[in-house]
Amino acid sequence: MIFCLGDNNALRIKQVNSISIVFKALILGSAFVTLFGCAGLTDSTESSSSQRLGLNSQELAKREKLLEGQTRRPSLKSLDLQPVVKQALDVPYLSLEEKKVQYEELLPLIKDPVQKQQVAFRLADIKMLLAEQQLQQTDVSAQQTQSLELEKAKLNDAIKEYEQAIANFKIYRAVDGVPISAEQAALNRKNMDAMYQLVRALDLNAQPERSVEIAQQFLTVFDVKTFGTTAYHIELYFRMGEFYFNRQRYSDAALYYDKVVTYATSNQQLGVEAANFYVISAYMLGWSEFKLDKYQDAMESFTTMLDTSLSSSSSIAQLDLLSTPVEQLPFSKGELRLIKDAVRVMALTFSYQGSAKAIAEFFESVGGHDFDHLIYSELAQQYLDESRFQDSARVLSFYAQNQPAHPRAVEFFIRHIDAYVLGQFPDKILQGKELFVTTYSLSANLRGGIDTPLGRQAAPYLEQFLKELAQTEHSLAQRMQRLAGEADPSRLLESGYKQSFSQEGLSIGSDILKDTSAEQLNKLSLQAYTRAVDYYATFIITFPFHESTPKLRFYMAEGLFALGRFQEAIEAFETYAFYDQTTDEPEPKEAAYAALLAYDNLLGQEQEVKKDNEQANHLARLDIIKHSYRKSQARFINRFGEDDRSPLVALNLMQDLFSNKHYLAAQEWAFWLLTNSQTFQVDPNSVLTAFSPLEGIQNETLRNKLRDQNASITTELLPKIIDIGKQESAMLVLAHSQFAQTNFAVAELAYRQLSKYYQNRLENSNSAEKAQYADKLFEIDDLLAASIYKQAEHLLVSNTLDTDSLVKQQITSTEQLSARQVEIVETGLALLLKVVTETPNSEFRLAAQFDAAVYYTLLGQWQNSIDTFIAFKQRYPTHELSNGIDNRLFVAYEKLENWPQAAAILLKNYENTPTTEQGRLALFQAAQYFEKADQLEQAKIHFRKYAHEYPQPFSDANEARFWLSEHYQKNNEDRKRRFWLNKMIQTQLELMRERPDSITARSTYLASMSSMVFAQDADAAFTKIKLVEPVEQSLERKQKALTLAIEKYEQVIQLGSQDYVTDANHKLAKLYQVLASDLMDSQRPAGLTPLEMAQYEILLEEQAYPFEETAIILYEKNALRTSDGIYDEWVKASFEALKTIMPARYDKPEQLPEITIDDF
Amino acid sequence: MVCLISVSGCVSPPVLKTVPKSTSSSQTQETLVVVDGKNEDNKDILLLAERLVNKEDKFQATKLPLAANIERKIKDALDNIKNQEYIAAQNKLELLFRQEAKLPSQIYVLAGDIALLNGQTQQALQYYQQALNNNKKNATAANRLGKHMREQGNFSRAHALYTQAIQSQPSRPESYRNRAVLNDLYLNNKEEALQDYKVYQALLTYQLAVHDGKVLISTKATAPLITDQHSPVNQQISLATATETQSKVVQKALTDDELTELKKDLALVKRWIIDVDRQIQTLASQRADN
Repeated sequence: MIFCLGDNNALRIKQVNSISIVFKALILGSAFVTLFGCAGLTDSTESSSSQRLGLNSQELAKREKLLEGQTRRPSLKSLDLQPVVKQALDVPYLSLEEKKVQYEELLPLIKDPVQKQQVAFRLADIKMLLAEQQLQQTDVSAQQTQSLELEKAKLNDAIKEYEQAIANFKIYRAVDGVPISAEQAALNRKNMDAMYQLVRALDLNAQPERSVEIAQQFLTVFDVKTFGTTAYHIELYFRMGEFYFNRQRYSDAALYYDKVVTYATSNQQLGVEAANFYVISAYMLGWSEFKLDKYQDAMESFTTMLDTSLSSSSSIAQLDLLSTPVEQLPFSKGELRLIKDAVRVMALTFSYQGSAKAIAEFFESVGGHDFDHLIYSELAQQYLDESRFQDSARVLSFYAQNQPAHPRAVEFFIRHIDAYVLGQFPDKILQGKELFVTTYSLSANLRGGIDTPLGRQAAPYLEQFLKELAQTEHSLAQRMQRLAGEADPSRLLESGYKQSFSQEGLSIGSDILKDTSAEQLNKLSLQAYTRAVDYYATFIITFPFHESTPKLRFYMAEGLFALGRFQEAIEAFETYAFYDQTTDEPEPKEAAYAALLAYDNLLGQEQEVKKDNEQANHLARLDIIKHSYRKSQARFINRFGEDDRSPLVALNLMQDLFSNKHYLAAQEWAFWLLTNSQTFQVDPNSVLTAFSPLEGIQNETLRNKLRDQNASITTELLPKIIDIGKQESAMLVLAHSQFAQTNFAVAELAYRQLSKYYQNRLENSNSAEKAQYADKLFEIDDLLAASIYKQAEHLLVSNTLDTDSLVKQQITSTEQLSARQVEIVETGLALLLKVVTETPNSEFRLAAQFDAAVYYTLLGQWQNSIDTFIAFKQRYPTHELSNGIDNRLFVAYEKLENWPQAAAILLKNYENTPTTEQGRLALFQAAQYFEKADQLEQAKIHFRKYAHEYPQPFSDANEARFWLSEHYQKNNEDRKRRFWLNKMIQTQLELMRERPDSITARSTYLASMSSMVFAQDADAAFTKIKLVEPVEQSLERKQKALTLAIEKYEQVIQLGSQDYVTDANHKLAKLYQVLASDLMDSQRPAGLTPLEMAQYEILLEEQAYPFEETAIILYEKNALRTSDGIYDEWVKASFEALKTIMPARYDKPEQLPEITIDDF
Repeated sequence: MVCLISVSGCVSPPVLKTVPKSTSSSQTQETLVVVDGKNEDNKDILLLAERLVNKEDKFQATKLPLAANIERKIKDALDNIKNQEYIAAQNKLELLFRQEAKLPSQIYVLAGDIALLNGQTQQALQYYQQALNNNKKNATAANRLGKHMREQGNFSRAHALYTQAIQSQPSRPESYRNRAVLNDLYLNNKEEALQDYKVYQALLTYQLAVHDGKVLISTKATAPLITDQHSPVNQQISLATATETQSKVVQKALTDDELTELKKDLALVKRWIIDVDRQIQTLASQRADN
């Protein structure tokens, strides 16, 4: 080391390295041993210290062990100061010895006291330098005795020189406020230098007490108040502290160390010297305080020291300090040792004060520091060194949890887990991992993602731990589940599970011991599944592109499935199956299928909810699930069509679509199942054309698109063999769908296929199967019938030609229909008949047959209508439709003029309900129809029956009587005729008496007609009587007959029918006219004289005249009826009679002259 | 003093041939004067008839002129009728119907008469109706339809047709007779019947007077001699004072059969008038008694 006096640069070098010099001096000097030897750690002090700490013997032993490393603990020696590199100087070379000689020679020669003093100081310095040179050489040459002596001699020489210089020196001070001059100040500084150097020299010369004495003198002479705090002051404070520390005078030591620290703390702009002593002073202050059991003060001092050491260095970035182990920081070994020692002591201290919590409390009280993690780390390490694994782990965990974002927190977490590993605490390991995962997973605190420094640190551990945890929990869940299914779980537990759980660190083992009920096991299982799923999910989120992610997703899906979280399970399974693109086990198709199973369960779950919740949103959710399920099923088949399970999926999908009325889609999968069918031998092309589900789609573009889809489905992924049962279902769905879409004709074709198929199966089945196929065949035939029937119904309804519409429109015959409508009816009828003939045992036969008969009726095919109705009635005699058939048959019979059959139906109606109006009318009409059928005897019987049984209403009774009267007239049964004629008269008379309002023109006519018959009978009787001799007698008879005839005619007139009144009137008149004429023409008595004869003639005329007059009056009465517009044959006859009797009045013909050419 | 012209003899058929009316002015008017010193009572009747004869014959005014070829065919048909060749007559007319687009309405009347002779009553009625359709002033057709209506008991329609005939050809006596019979026997309207009978009688009397040459046509008159009337009941007839100017005798000779028939009809109608008048009086007295 070279000091170049008078050279500023050299001086700075000196200053910078002053601490090194001090250290070197300490190292080289005997003081080194006293300063840092075991001085402060004698047994007595240790004992007292231990006692103050209140440690027991064991703890003391440990403490001693820690402290026995005093030789190992850092010392100033460990600073490893290196000599300054020697540099060439341009000044003429003079050795120190030569300079010393020159100055020694010069000094006596100088007279000027000031100069002389300056030279004396310089000479002292040179001697000091020579001593130092020697010191260095001695050090290098391993302390040879000779050299030591030489060194000592030189030091003594320097000391002597300094002492003389100082002795001759006067300290200049300001007097009365007058400051000292610059020269005086310079002399003062020189003196200060000399005194300082003297302290050094004495110290180097192993005269520590003398050195301290001079130092004390220095501090007294150059009080800081007057001279300020110089680097010399700082150094001397430190040296004082060292002196006292080495002499275990810790309070004194602390006093001086504290001066350095206080000065440094209170002066932000520290000089280099102060800064150099600041750290070591703080360190030593800490130790001093520690020795004085002032732990809090000690910790603060160490903190100050560490703060300064670790933060004052510009070469260490804060992040590096936080993230890098202190050993890797760019500290010198000495610095590092000091730091580590400070840390070690602090950690040790905290270990007595409550471990990690004490650290936290301390730093909370003194404020945060960037190095606190070092303390925790050291403490943990100390614990670990002592095999206190859990304590170590707890300290690390404590810090990591409190400072999870600290750059070294991850390391701490891992170390704490490692501590448990070392200590073999498997459950703690697991918990530690859980804690780590909880702390650093993306879903927790690892904000900013995995691609951050912290994330990158945590990532490998997360990856490992998440996998371990997830799989452990998954395994546990599965085992719990299995156990829950066992009859005696405890036995299994005892035999292996428990140990297994223990080994895995699963505290759950103890839980199981408490309660091995299935409920509890299931509960535990679900809890484990939940945790497993969470870990899997965390892994997936954290490492979405990790190679293990797909597989873990699959496992997660399994866990979700086990938990009944089917929706999430579905998403996971499907992601694995369709998006992860993994070729690993399990195969994607297993996941895809598992998703379908999850859908099944999800639907079941939702439907359970549905029982209690019919709200619209729930139903909408159910629909959404079903929709997704179907999409998933379709996707499974499209992707894994060759899988053996695809047909089953397709079947389920198809049936679901069908049951939800998505017929087009259902048919697509029916096609899929049917393509290349061995069951139905359906050519794909013919399927597409004949049974195309696309037929119902009007949009051609869409139809073609779907057809293309079908083609791709059917050709690429169809399993080689789809079992018969599924194809059977497919064909059923195909047929049913067509039916449901009202494509009845296509449905019919499909049902025919099925019918043929079942027929074949029936024929080739064993006896046990026969009944089953017979039933199916019956059902299909019924559906076949339905499809045909619906064709007819659809056709007719769409053209408003169904039976209801016909009734509404009052259409009863083809005359009311257009040709086109007739054609439609005929087509519909043909379809209905097809049902009857081709599916005779179907349920639809009934309706079809009945409707067919109805349409026969409409078409006027009466005989067909009759035949069909009769067949219906025979087949379904008790059906309610049969009740009305007679009436329909009746119409048909009427139309065919099959009167006997019509009458037979009427008689049946009558016999069934004789006391009803319907019965009465039926009997009457039956009689009429017998008449129409010319079965007059039957007609007579039934008219007579009617006339006897139904006197009311009198109008119909009268008609029956009239018919009978006419019938008997034709058969010349006059007596019987007159019986019924009289009935009609009596009825009318009764009406006239009792119910004149009920009289009708018809009743009047019939009564008049009847009465006329009796009048004519009387007339005939009257006419028949001839007036013969004796005239009186014959006249009397005739008069009686006349009276009767008149009475009868008058009755006719009284009855009042115009048709018979004029007749009766005329005939009555004629009766009188005939009587008058008969009188005049009567036989003359024989033997009368001419006179007597003349008198007799006169007498006759007189007798005849009144009759003739009466006749005229009656004729005229008839003639006068023309005034009322009556001019029937009898009025005309009366006119004719009057023409004869009174030609002047009544023979007045109109005149119509013949036309001549002149008329033109 | 007017110059009386005695007309002797009777004509048949009893169709009065109207005297051609002059185009009289207000100063000059043809005036009929019946000069029959034997029976002054006939004056009223003759005046009535004269008035009717001189009333406008609407049929004559509206009928289509008869083409020669058609006239010939009609005559042929009439000859067939006379010879009771009714089918032939019918064929002739039907041929005419096919050949000619427009024919006088009277041809249809003739066709109707032939149809009746052939026993085709409905066909006859259709022809009569066709005649009326062609010319509603055709009294011949109206009378024939009127009689048919009476036979059918449709008295009101018959009455209307007879009245239509009278109004169309007021000088045709059969129209009055037919309406009178209808009123008398069938409508019991004796007063109206009586009036019609009287007009009928007047027209027949007039025909007879014409036949006898007892009708003088005077060309001068000072005032209207006969007030206009539509109903015979209300007719007021006054004798003209034919004091001056020219006069001519109108004579229309009737065949013997026609004359016989005319006289027979006149005798009948006189009795009818007496009888109806008696009935009226009886009824009046009965009403008075009541």
